[in-house]
Amino acid sequence: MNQPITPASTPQLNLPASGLTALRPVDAWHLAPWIIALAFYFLVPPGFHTLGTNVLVMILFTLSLDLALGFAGIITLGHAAFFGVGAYAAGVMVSKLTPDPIMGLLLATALAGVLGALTGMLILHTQGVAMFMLTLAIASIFYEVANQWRSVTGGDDGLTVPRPAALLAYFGFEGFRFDFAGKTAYLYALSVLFVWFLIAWRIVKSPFGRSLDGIRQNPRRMRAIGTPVWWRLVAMYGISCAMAGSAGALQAHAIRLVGLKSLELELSGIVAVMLVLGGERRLYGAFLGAAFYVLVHDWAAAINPFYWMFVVGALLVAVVLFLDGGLMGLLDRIAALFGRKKSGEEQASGDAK
Amino acid sequence: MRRILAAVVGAAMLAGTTLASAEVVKVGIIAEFSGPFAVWGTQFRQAIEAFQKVNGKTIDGHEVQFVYRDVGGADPAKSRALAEELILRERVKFIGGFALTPNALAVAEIITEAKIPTVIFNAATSIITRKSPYYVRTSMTVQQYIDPLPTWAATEGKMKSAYVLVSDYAPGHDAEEIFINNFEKAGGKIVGKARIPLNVTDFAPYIERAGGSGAEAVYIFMPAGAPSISIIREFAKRGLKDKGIKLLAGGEVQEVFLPAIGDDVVGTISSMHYTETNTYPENIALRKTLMEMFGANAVPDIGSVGAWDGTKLIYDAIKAHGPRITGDQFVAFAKGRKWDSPRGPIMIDAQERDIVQQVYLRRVEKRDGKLVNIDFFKSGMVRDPWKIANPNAK
Repeated sequence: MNQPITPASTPQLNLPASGLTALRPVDAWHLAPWIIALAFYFLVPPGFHTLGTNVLVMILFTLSLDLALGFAGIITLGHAAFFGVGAYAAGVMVSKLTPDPIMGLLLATALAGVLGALTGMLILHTQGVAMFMLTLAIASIFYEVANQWRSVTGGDDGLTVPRPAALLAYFGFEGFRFDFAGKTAYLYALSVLFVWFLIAWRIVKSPFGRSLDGIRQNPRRMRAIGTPVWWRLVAMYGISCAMAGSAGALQAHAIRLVGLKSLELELSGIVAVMLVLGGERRLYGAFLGAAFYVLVHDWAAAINPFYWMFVVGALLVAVVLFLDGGLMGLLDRIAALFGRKKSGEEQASGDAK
Repeated sequence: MRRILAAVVGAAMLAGTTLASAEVVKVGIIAEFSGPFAVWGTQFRQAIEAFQKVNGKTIDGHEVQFVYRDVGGADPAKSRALAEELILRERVKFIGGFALTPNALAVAEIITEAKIPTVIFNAATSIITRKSPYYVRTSMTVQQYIDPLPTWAATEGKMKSAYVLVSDYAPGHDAEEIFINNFEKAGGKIVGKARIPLNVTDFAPYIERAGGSGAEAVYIFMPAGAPSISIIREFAKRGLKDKGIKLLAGGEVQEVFLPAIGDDVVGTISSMHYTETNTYPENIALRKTLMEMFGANAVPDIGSVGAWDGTKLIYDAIKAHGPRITGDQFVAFAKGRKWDSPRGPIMIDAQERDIVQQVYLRRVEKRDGKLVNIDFFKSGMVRDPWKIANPNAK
């Protein structure tokens, strides 16, 4: 708690914190994930787009946890609650109010964000184990509400979501219909992820983001210099929950079925695993962690449907034991090996060692 | 020269046709292979493998390949994603499996859209087959296998009053409804009932209340496994068995569970659509093959026969229509079809695509040191009572 705040221990943030400089033309490698994602769309055989969408949804969800847990240091094991709220809200929107996916997405995001901020006001008065317990408790309440409120959520049968209208139907453009092979859903998820990534990027490079960095490392000192610690945390938690809600809404639109699993503790655990796998406080860590987890999961379940959990478990243990800093840490080391001039996010982490 | 050429061309054509006709037909199996319901997945898989051992892995030279996917537990979203994966990526012609109703219901829309016939090996909620014209069920429905029990108990069984204990979830409510209706219709009196929440593990208060109600019989319905084992033990421990109160049950006392319950279970009367000790030749073949392949302790259960018959239906349909069979051809083939199952004669209802079968009343006995169920009553062919009572429900 009392370690000094030094630039060296704030890994990824080496860019000037103020104004538009954070959005200056970035090094080419920042384009890599998006180029890969677009290439995936055009190159994979039909049937794999749903898998891709699942990866994108999990990246967005992991990114949301990175904001709360990684950057702001809010220890939560109940993040699935907001993913689930977003999913159920989007599902109910399509079946009861409007088939327009964008409207559903916005509403689900707003609802998850508001609920996140409200519960955040409660839990962010606490710290450590107490906070951890409260996030669990709130997630359990959400779960039980969904379980009992069968008329809306369908209980354990799940909520079947009708096919949403074409993506831009609201503007009279019918070109992006949700197809059986899930190609439209993939592009839709990719666009939403891109928008959220820009927002997340902007946030962590802003003075607001920097102040959260300080709060994570030493809240008392931050309070002493006049930072409204609690409000900042509530704001960040709310944004993070809104993002998780977006991820849930995307899943509801893509898979078109929302089950109680989307609110369960297990999912909160999985998303934490994906974050640790990829590397915390790295933004791109969410990309690597989620993609790695979902793809290994898919691959292992296809190779051996009976003992696949063992394969996934063993891989996770290996990564956590041998890869300090997750997969991003591994990338850093590979980059260092080639002696390349490191840039952007990679650099600071290397400096910190 | 011309003759040689003709022979070569002829041979090539022949080779061409054999090549073209040797196809692989994939059947996707979505089931619970991990988590608390993993026993279902295992039983499905063993029955499928046993069936393939007896009947071969090929039909007229076409290989039948089973592609398994683990849905974990009750996870409808995953079930649906797996169905999509199997249809789009694996290009399966059929889907089978499903121990739990939510997982089975989840694929309704997708199989309708893709016209992929789906054979339900277990999930027993009546409504399922009405949710898509491509569902066919080879297991049972809850109300179907309970149907003859209360009627028998109130008449030939000479039990004048009963207490009903069910788990508080959808199948439990179905069970309660049919037991009470039929028991009262046959002249019996229900002296009390209770719904037990699914997470309860201490059944003493429930059993005490049932014992004090003055009922001559206690009917129980709960998910088979740890809870059902302990409630039957409690029944004996609290002295209800010694008082001469009869215990009526269903899937809770399948042969697989009997060793875990112990001798307390002797005398329990149950109704089920499959009795493991029956002597139909198909059953003897199933038991023998399972024991050869998976050891002396391998015991078939209702999941095994559901999978066995589902696999047989798929095999027979491929035999009749070839490897390029369409979803509509399969459903038409299945409708009204009759065959001999390990459980006895069965039929697929021509309208509902649901199973029609005999139901057996059995008593648990100890034979040669082993706890087994022995049939003492056999019903006629039973249709799902819920569907008869609700002809238009969707």
